[in-house]
Order: sequence, then C-alpha cells, then structure tokens
Amino acid sequence: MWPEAWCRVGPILAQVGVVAMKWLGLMDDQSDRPGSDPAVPDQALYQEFLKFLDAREVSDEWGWETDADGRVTWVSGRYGELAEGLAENIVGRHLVEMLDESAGGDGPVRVAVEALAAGRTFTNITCGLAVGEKRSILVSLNGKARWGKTHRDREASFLGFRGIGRNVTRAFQRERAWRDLCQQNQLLAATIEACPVSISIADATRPDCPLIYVNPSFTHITGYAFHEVIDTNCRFLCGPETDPVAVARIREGLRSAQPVSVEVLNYRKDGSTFWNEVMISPLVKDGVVVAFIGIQNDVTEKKLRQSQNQQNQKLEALGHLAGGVAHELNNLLQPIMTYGELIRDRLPVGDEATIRQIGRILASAEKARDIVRNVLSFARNDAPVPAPVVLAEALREALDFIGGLLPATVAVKVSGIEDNLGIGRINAVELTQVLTNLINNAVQAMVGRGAISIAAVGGRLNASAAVVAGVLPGNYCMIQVKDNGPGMDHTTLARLFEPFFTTKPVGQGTGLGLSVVYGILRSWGGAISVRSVLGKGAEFTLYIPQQDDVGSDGNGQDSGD
Amino acid sequence: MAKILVIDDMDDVREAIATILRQENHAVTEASDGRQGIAKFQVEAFDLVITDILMPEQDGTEVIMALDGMAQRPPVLAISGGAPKMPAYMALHLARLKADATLMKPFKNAELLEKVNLLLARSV
Repeated sequence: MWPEAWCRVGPILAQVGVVAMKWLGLMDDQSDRPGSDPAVPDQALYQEFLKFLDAREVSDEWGWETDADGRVTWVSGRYGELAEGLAENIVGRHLVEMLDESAGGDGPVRVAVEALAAGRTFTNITCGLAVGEKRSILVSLNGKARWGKTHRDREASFLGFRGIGRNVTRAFQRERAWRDLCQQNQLLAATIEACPVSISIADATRPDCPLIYVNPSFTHITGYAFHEVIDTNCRFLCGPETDPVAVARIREGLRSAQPVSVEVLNYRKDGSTFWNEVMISPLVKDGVVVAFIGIQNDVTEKKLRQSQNQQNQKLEALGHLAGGVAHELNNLLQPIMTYGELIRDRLPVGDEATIRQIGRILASAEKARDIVRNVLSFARNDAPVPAPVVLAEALREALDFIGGLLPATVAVKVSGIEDNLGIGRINAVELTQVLTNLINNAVQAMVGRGAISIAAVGGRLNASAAVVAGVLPGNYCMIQVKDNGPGMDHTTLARLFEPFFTTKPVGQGTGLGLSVVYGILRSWGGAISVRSVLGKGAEFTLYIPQQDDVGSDGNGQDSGD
Repeated sequence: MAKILVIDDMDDVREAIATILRQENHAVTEASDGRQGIAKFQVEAFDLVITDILMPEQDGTEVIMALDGMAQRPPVLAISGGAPKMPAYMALHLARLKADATLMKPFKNAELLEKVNLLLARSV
C-alpha cells in the first residue's frame, strides 16, 4: 500500500529519478526504444530507483561519467567526501590526464589508458588518480563504455564512459603494511632459525613456563629436537652436577622478571655435559611478562681454556717459587755434604755407629739434592737440551727399562705402539723418567697390585682437541697410561700436577713425581692430561709434538708414517 | 801442592770447599766476591781459580773475563747453585764458554777433587 503523500509526489520523483538514472548510467538509454514513454515510469522501475538512492547513501563508491573524448562530465555527490578532493578539480578534465603512475599501487595505469582510449569497458583497475593539486589517491575504477544511437543514427557511436570509483588508498596501504610485516616476520623467523646461537622462548603465562619455541642451534647444542622439548620446562637440561646456586639465580630472575645471565653445567640428551652460558630476558607486553627469551651458548671450550690457563699460570708461579727455594737449598746443602763427607772420612775405623749416622746425614742430603733437581725440572730451570728422537724406539727402550723395576703383582700390558709416532724433540732419559713416575704413581695407587696398560698412537689434534689437551693444534704422539686403580676425585684431579701435592701418607712420597712429569712435558712443548673417575682407575695421556721437518735437524730417520 | 783461589759469596760453601782442598795440602786463598777475587789474582799468581758464578758486586763471568786478560791465565772451575732468576744450568752454560770446567752445587767432595786434579794436571 502506498501512502497518500507518496502517491502524489511519486510520479514526479519517478520522472526525476529516470533522468538521474540515465545520467548515472544505471538505465539503458531507451530513448530510441519504440513506444517507450519516459514520462510514464512504471512502479517497478521507481522502486529500483529508490533502492539505488538508499544504496548510494551508504556506498563507499562514487559514480562518474565521461563524454566520448574521455572528459569527465560528472561525479556523484559523495565524490568529494570519498576521494577527499573537490569535484571541480576533476570535472571537465580528461580522465587519462589524471591517472597518476607515481601514486603507487600495483594498478597498471597503462591498462586504464588503453581501455579508455579504445572505448572498452573495464573493471577493477587500480591506479593513481590526481584528485587535487599535487595530491593523488589510489582508486579502483570500473567503467562501462556507453554506445548508443538515436533514431537519426545508422550505427551506434561511442558516447563515453560511466562507472564507479572507490578510494583504495588506505586499503592498499594496509595491505602493503601487512605484506611488509609478513616479510619482516619471515625474515625474523628465518634469522632466528639460522642463528648460530641457541634461542628458546618460554611461555610465561602458563604454569611452569613451558618452552614454546627452540631454534635449530638449541637442538645442535643440547641434542634435543623441537618436538621433544616443546611444552616442557627447560629444567630437563639440569643434572646431578648442575650447580643449585646457578639454578636458583635463574629461578630468581624468572620470579622477579629481571634479566639474568649465568654459566651453568647442563646435560645433553646423550647425558654428556656442557657449560651453558644462559641469558634469560623477560618479554613484557602491556606491563605483563608474556614470555622469557633464553639465549644459550656452549662455552665448554672457553671454560676449559680458562681453566687450563689458570692451571698453567698457577703452575708457572709455583714453579718460579719452587725454583727460587731450590737454588737456596743448593747452596745450603753444599756445606752439609762437604763437611759430612770430611767428618766421615776422618772417623776412626771401627766407629761403625757414627759412620752409619753420618751416612744417614749424607743420604738425606743427597735425597734433598735429588728433590731440588726434580723441582728445578718442574720449574723448567734445569732442562737438559732436547734432541730429535725416534719416539717409538725411545718408548720401547724406556718401557724395557721400567719393566725390570716393577713388582710381579703388577701386570703391564703394552697394547700397541704404532710406528707412526714420528720424531719428537725430547730427551730420552727424561721420557724414561716421565714414564717411571707415571707408572710408579699407578703402582702406588693400586697398592702394588693391578694392571697397567700402555698404548701409543700418532695423529693430528684439531683445534678443539688441542684445546682440551692444552696444546697447540698439530701432529702429536699420544702415549696413554691407564691403570685400574682406585681413581681420583675432582679435588685430587685439579691439584694433581702441583709440586708437593700428594695423596700418599706423610713420608711415603715427595709429591713431586707428577709435577716433574708436567714440567718435562711442557718443556717439550707437549702436555699431559688425566681422566679419572673415583673407583674406576685413571688414564693419563702424554702429548708429545711430532717434528715436521725431520731432515733439517734430526738424523734423517723416519718412523715409517 | 797447588795455589788455589776460591771465590764464593756464600761463606759456608767457600769454607767447605777450602777445607777439602786444604786437606789435600793445597794452599787456598779465599775471596768473598768477584771484586776481591780479581784483586787477589792481580797481585798473586794461582795455579787454579774456583769461582761461583752468581755473586754480588762482580760476578763469576767478570772474574773469568778479568783472568782472560792476563798473560798467564790459570785454569778456571766455575761452580753454581743458581739463583731465583738465573737457573744454575744457565749460569754454568754461560760460564762454560770461558771456564775450563763446571760443577753444579751441591757436589760431592770426590766430584770436586776429580775436577781440581784434572785441571791442575792439564796446566802442568
């Protein structure tokens, strides 16, 4: 039912509407249709027009029209608002002139220009449109080519374009920003994935802060794959020897949401340990800690190097001190030995008791002299001149010599002396002394009963192996002396090569044996390392540098490698 | 019997050496540092000079150099126990360049006498 008012104004509006719709290109030009009368619109058409008016009110598109030359003849009322430009800036000008390549966007202006030039209908061309003085926007244009003829024309002629336009500047900017963000995120993700430093992210919003991300370096360092650690707290890296104080510091950092950095002994998946330099920082969003970013760095080699350097410095200092004391003792021992001998030689024959007592004094003095010489050997103050020696031969000779001195209850098994030991710039007597001290040490540790195995190989130590051994990378003869004695604890291992350090009861050892070994090996440019677990024996490895240039200094013999 | 000059700043060591030599009927003159030693052999001829290497004032190497400048140079036995910054083997290594024999402290009486007799026999 039509309201009365609408019945009155309806026909008038309908006529206006038809005219307007023609203008807007929403109605076919029916002026040439026989029998049609624009003055009498039907109700259906009128309804369509009203719908159009309503839609136009809320549409974010504007209408536009050009004449056959492409000159803009009309833009709809919301143009100014939607395009943020004035209608008079555009009406009357050629549309092609206003297309702006520099406005950006991916719309090909060329396509629009061609379509406009060819009088061809086009849709969804996105291009720049100059809407004012030095101001362009990005628009999406649809244009319908209008062809028509009046009853006077024989053929239809091009009348111009009608279409709609939409300002897509903001949408495009949003899209571009989104695309840039995606690219940045991809770059960031790829960077984190490829980062040689281990990175992990823990969710601070969930109980127990489970891991939600680890990068491949984390897997590389710890041996745990992504799927094995996700949704678990990273305390799985801790083990029996992890320092609880370090763990407590991490926990405190997490609790107080403060960055924390600690070095902690962690365990890989295979149970091996590594020193982990952990840095944890809270990720705060809107005042709330949402995640903890962890950076893990395997600093095992660095720690080893540090501890090796500290050990070396300590031993150097001790050696210097010992050297000074030893030289003082040399001078003090001289009168004891000289007068002792003189008194002994003057004693009447038959005074056996006094002769024996003086003998004790002299024996003690000589023992003291030997200790001093050993200390000097440790301090590298008394080094015999080394010479090129065929190591395999020297080793066999030394072991032959030592073999004769060992108790029958100790089995020495020489499991392999390879021929590629090469030439070493050493002193063969010192090598015997080194092995004697090591084997004596083992025999004493085993309380005279047990098995010692000895093996020797030649080979190259790469950088990381050299760091562990405490030598420079290069070719080495490596002699291994292994016993099945009681082994040593960490405290003993740490002090093993210090002079006067002994685990033997007072009076049973000078505590110089292994420090002498250490001093001799260092004087050859070599090193000694020890591995031991309490209750599981000990394994000493001697590293003797192989001489590369045998011919220039040596006797030309080759060990056959 | 020979005339022997013993130079050592350590009194106990010097006296001990002198005692051994006197027991062997040598005429021993003692000096407690290099300067004194040089002064002695410049006014008196010796068959043998035994000198420590590391001494205050003038050291053993200076003693040997002073002896080298003499027309009739007696043989020299250099002895050393070293010092904190100069290992004995290094001191003796230096001395060996000019000395006729070296001995590292502490030595046995027999070792000393063996060297002394050797050098005296050579100089005869």
